[in-house]
Order: sequence, then structure tokens, then C-alpha cells
Amino acid sequence: MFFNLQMAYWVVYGLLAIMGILTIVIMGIKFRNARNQKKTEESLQNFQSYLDYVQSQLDEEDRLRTPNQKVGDFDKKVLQKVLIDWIQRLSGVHRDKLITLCHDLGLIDFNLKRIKSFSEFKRLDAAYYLGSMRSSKAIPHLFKMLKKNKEGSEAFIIGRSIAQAADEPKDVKEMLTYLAKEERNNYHLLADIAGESTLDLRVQYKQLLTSENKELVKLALLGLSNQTDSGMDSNVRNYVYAKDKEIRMNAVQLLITSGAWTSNDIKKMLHFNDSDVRAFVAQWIGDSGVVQFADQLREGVKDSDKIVARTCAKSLLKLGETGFIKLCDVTVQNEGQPVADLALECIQEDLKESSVQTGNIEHVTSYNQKLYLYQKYFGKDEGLTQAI
Amino acid sequence: MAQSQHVGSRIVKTFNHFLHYYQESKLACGVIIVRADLNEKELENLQSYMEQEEPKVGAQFSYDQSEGLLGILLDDCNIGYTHFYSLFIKDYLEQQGCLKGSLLVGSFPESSDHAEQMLFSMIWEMMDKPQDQHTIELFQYDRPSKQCNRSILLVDSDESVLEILSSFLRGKGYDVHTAQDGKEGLNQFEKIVPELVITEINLSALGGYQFINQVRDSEAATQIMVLTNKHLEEDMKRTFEFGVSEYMTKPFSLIEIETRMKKLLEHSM
Repeated sequence: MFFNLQMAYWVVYGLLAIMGILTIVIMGIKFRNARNQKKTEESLQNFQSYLDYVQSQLDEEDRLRTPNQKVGDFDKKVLQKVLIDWIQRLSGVHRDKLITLCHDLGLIDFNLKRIKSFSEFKRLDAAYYLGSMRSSKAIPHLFKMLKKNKEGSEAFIIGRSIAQAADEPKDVKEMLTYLAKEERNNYHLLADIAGESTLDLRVQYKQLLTSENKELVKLALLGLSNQTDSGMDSNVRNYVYAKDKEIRMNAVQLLITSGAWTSNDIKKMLHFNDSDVRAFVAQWIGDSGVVQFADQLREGVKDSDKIVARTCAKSLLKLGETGFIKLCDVTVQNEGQPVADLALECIQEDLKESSVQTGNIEHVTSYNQKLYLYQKYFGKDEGLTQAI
Repeated sequence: MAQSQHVGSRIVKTFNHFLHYYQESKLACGVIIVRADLNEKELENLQSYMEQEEPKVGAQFSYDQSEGLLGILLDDCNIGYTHFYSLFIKDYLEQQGCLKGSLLVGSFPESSDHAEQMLFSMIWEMMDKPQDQHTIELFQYDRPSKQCNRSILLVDSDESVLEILSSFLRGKGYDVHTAQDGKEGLNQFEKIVPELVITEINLSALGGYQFINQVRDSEAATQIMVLTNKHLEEDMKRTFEFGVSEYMTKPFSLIEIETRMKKLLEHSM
């Protein structure tokens, strides 16, 4: 019994010691943070006039000058944070001017030193700043870091920095190929990262279209849709028939949004086995107001898939008077069948929605026209009129 | 009136014939007016400090002891460099404990088309300034430009965006007001009824769409421009349905935003 009490004392002492150590550690961290905060405020106050100068002279032709007072390492950290905040929000000549100032302030060399630090946090922080400052000098260091960080979100931070800093499209392609190696279905994130680059990546994306890595193919299809004048590759047309659903959908979206489609492409795609493709194309016809496909949409209202049928009906209603008449025709010609009910339901929904939008004269005339047509086809519907 | 002619008379006397020369020959010059308390020795020290720091610049110094105003005239300097030069002056005077108020920076012909009149106006503006602030301000001469007094309200929770944009637009002569959330934005809107509102969609307290709706409902002839992080076509479409006239995404170009603003404001005239 005495032995157990002794043990209990030891446990209590042990716990107290651990609590003591943890308290000291927490207090230490708090103290360090408070000291850093104070130093940051002092530094910002010290450079406030200079930062005001940078802001007010940003639009002038002259190169921005560096401060007349000494800029220590801590000041560099504070200044680079402010400058990068501004750089991230701007594009064009003003952003370039701030990037030049970062070079002149010695921030590139400062971060090139930090990227070799033993601390992983410092290395990542430096990688982020070097990317934001578009320093191509940092590319070899960034690749070295990337290949060390094989897994985890750090690799994507470094990848983003490479995309921002690279002045050769091949470097961006190498980074993307490396990050897509594991095929973890991150291609949306990779396309976003590649979007940080100001380089023309069309050639690289077209090369990736022939890759055996499906992730890279999906990435290329997505990347090409963000490029202007993507120049349709024959591979893209082939991928419209791909077995992989994501590749197929991305290829369809690219083909349509790039404007490289033919009438035949659209008609074929409206009869694809994949209902998502049919729905996507039907939706696009309505959103883009391509009246030439109104007859295909009218047929589409009879689609076996309810989502596709409804999308076709809704898209017809977006095509103005022509579409409205065609949908009324569907209702009348298929009386008693489910397709007629669906068409009538969509027409009535549209009329109700249109009756609310009476803000401008165009809405009013369009609504009147629809109501007139509705009454011509179906007569006066007291229930609907009351609901409206 | 007699007193008004006397204000800063020493600075005016010293610089007058130089300014007349710059005006006639259409050469550039920078002017800095500082509220300071200096004796002869301190003024000499300041001059030699500046000669040492920026030896290539031809600078004239004139101190009006009765008003406590120091005037500095910089030969062949544009507004950018004059502002940079003023950073040295501010630092030095602060260190010596001689700085007693703010600094006003201007240049001919960027700040004004009339060099002599600019000096008068700068001195007068300094007389009205509170003496407890040690800030550097750019002189804005009331040129009869279209931008003058055109009021703009910026609503964004991102301080950096507000900072960059308001500094840029104020430099262009706009009357800029800022708010960090929808509620504050609406209060400001009701107070100033600006000609243009530039707003983010992601706003706290009162959402962006609600804010836009309320501005629209006010029936004021205010144009609305959206500057947002939202890049989706759907957002763009929805925003235009709310009666917005322009849509821009971040990161943004200051040149592009100014061009679009000018176009909108021209239509609203």
C-alpha cells in the first residue's frame, strides 16, 4: 500500500514536471510571437513613408527607388510580405514594377539564401516568395526542393512557385509531369497551378495529349480550354469517344467551348450513349442561344433520360420565341404522354419566372409574347394566371 | 488680405524668379514644403546632409522662421524623385527633432500648369494642415479635369486591394471612399451617393448581391462595377442580372480598371 502511494507521488511529480515544461514552452512561443509582432509593427512604422512613396509613385514612369535607410533581414521579411501582398493582387505593368523593386531591394538573393536553410518552414517560405517574385534564378533550387518533397501539399506549393517563376515552358511541363506521376486525380489543381504561369503553354499541352498518363491527358484538355486559340488537335476529337468518362467530358467541353465544333459534331453528341454528354451539349445550346439546333433540342425533349429531356426543354425556352413555339408543339403533338407533361411543366415554370422579372421593358415584352403564345396554344388558364 | 500676401513671403521671394524661369522655359522642378523648427546651423546641416546623400541634385533651401515653414526647390526633378527626396528630408528632420508637421510635395508641370501659383497654393495648404501629423502628402492642384471630385466608393474586405486602388485613384484626382464590408459600404453609400461603386461579391455583414440590390433600389444614378475573386461564368452572368455594368476579376490591372471606369463615368455624365 505504501509502495503504491509512493508511485502515485512520482506520477503526480512527473505530471507536474511535464505541465511545467509545457507551460514554459507555451509561454516561450507566446513571448516570441509577441516580440515578433512588436518588431514587425516597429519595422512597418519605420518604412511607412517609404511604402507610401511606393504606392504613390507606382503609376509614374521612373523606376521605384530603394529606401534610403538600412534594410536589415527582419525589415526585408516585413517589406517582402507587404510587397508580395500587392503583387498578388495586381497584373500588368504595375505588378512588373513591384517585382523589379523586389529585385532592387535584394529580396531575391535574400530568399535564395533562405531556400538553402535547414528549417523546412524557411525553405518553403522562401520558395513561395521566389515564385511570387518571378525569379527564374530560383528554378534549379525549386526543382531540387520539389524532388525532395515527393508527397504532401508542400510539393504543390513548390510547383506553383515553379509555374510563376519559370521563363521556359519546358520547365512548367517538367513540373506538371512530375506532380502528375502518381496519378492521384489532382489534375484540376495542376491546371490551376499551371494557370499561374504567364507563358504560352499550348505546345506543351498538345504534347501532353499524347501521354500515356491519363492524368496528364485530362490536365492537357483542361489547360487547353483556358488558352486562347487552342487550335484543335485531332487527338481532342478522338478523346470525345474515350472510354474514360472524365477524358471524354473534358474533350467534349474543350471541343465546344473552343468553337471548333461542326454541326455534325453537335448532332452526334446529342445522341451519345453518355447522358452527361447529351445534357452538357443541350445546356450549352440554350446558354449560347444557338437557334440552329432548336430541332435537335425538340427531339431531345423525348430523351429517355429525364435530366437530358428537362435540360433540352429548358434550353429550348432560352432560345426565345422559336424555342417556346417548338416546346408548345411538343406538348400538343404528344398529348397524354409523359413528354407532354414535362414540356407543359417547363413552359408554366418559365412563365411564372418571367412574370417576376418585370424590371425592364425587354423582360415585359418577352413575357407578354410568351403569354400570348401560351394562350394561343392552350387557351386561358385561370389557375396559371392566378399563380402568376 | 495684407496678411495673406505675407504668408510664406520669404520662401516666395527666394523661389519666385526661379519658378518664373521654369515656367517660361517649360522646365521641370520639384517643390517640397515642410513644417519645421530650424535655426541657421540646423538648416546648414540639413543642406550638407542632402548634398552628401543626393549630390547630383540642384536644390535650393529657404526657411521662413516666422511661419516655421521650410521650402525646398529641386531643379529638373519630377514628382517621383521629389517624393523620394522628401523621404530623406523627413527622416533627417525627425531624427533631429525639428519636424513639426507634415510635408507637402509637388512638381511643375505634373502637379500644376503654373509654377508660381503652385508654390502659393502649397504654402496655403500647409497653413491649414494640423501640426501633429508627420506625413508626406502629394499636392493636388485643382485642375479642371473630368476626374476631379468624381466620387467613388470601394467596398472590399481585402485591405491590400483598398490600399492599392485608393492610392492609385486618388493620384488620378478621384474622390475615393472605402468600406470593408457590405453594411459599412451601404452606410457610406447613403452618406455620399457616389457616382461609381466598385465592390467585391464576397462581403461580410451584408452579402455582395444584397449590397448591389440595395444600391440599385436606391434609384441613384450610381454605376456599379464588380471586382472579384470569382472567376466562374455563372457568377458573372448572375452579377449582370443584378444590374451591374462592369465585371473584373482579380488579380487586376490598374490601367484596365481605370479605362473601364472612365468609360462608365462618361456614360453616366
